Amino acid sequence: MRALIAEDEFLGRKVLSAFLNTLFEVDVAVNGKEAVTAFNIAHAEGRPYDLILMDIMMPELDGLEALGQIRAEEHEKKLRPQVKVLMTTALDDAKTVIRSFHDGEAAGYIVKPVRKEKLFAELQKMGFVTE
Amino acid sequence: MSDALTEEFFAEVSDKYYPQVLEGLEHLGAGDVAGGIEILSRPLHTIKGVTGFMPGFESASGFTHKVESFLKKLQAGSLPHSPDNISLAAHGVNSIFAVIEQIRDLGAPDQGEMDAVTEVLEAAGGGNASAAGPAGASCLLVEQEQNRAILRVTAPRIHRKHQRDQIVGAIIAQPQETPVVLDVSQVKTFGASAWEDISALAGHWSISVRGLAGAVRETFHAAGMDAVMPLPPAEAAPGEAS
Repeated sequence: MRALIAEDEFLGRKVLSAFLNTLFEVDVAVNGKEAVTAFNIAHAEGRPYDLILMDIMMPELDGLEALGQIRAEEHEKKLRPQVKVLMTTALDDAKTVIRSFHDGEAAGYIVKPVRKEKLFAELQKMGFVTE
Repeated sequence: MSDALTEEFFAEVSDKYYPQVLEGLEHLGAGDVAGGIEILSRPLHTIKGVTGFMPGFESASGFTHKVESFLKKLQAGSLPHSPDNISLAAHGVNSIFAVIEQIRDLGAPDQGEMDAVTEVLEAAGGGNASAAGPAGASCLLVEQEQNRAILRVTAPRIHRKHQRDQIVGAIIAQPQETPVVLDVSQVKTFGASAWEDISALAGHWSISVRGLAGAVRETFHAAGMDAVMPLPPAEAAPGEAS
């Protein structure tokens, strides 16, 4: 399985990679723009990502905008199944949470700091790990 | 934050998701199953996701996931688009709103009702075939009371063909001059097909219904049964009694 971590902080990328690399082949993107590019390249390679961990506050293109572009690509090119996206962010305001699920069709939402137990609980809900 | 999220969430439910869900249910009711489920999927996904993130609402998230699973089976064609399944889907969707409102207003959902809906969805979806009772098991008792035949339905859920056949058979067994009272006070869910079967007899026997409540009342009215089967005055909503 492949996962993409979109995170602008070096330490955040390092920690999340360490959590995921036993289950996934992990790529990293340092902003939303790179995340969209990585998503498109993975599809072009015929090896799309199964999971994206998406930070929201990132330079160039924020996580919600990037997710919107990814969903638009999926819709336009009829790419199925949709990639499962877990928001990993310091933002916890109501509008952002709701927008992530409704507009971005996020599969889950974790407020930083991301702890391994919480991450794996979300991965379990998404069907990536069993109890 | 959670109070603000709850407030924002219910504002969105009222302004956005509920109208979307009503539109989806209208499509379902009109036979456009794929279109209806497509419309339902976005608001239900949002309710599942956001309630999973709201302290105290986690059970609503799990419940919504189960209703979504049933809808996905219908959408994929792994379940037939029968009137019973469409009715169950609509009931499941309506129950989501009941659950989130109960948690908001009372602090907890009606666990019994939530379990009952889950059970019947799983039974219809092939996950728990025994929930509606084994085929051949009796689902009603027939009693005579003041020149009336009381058909007391004893099974909690009436969805299967053998149950419908038993009820129809019990009505047909009565002399046509004997009024028949269908007592559904012990029933939790009653499929639209069962109501339709009974309505076909309503012109030939004098059939009335008592003990309507909850989901049974919903499917009774949704099937238009109030036009063909009278309710006792105490059971009818104001202006409804004939």
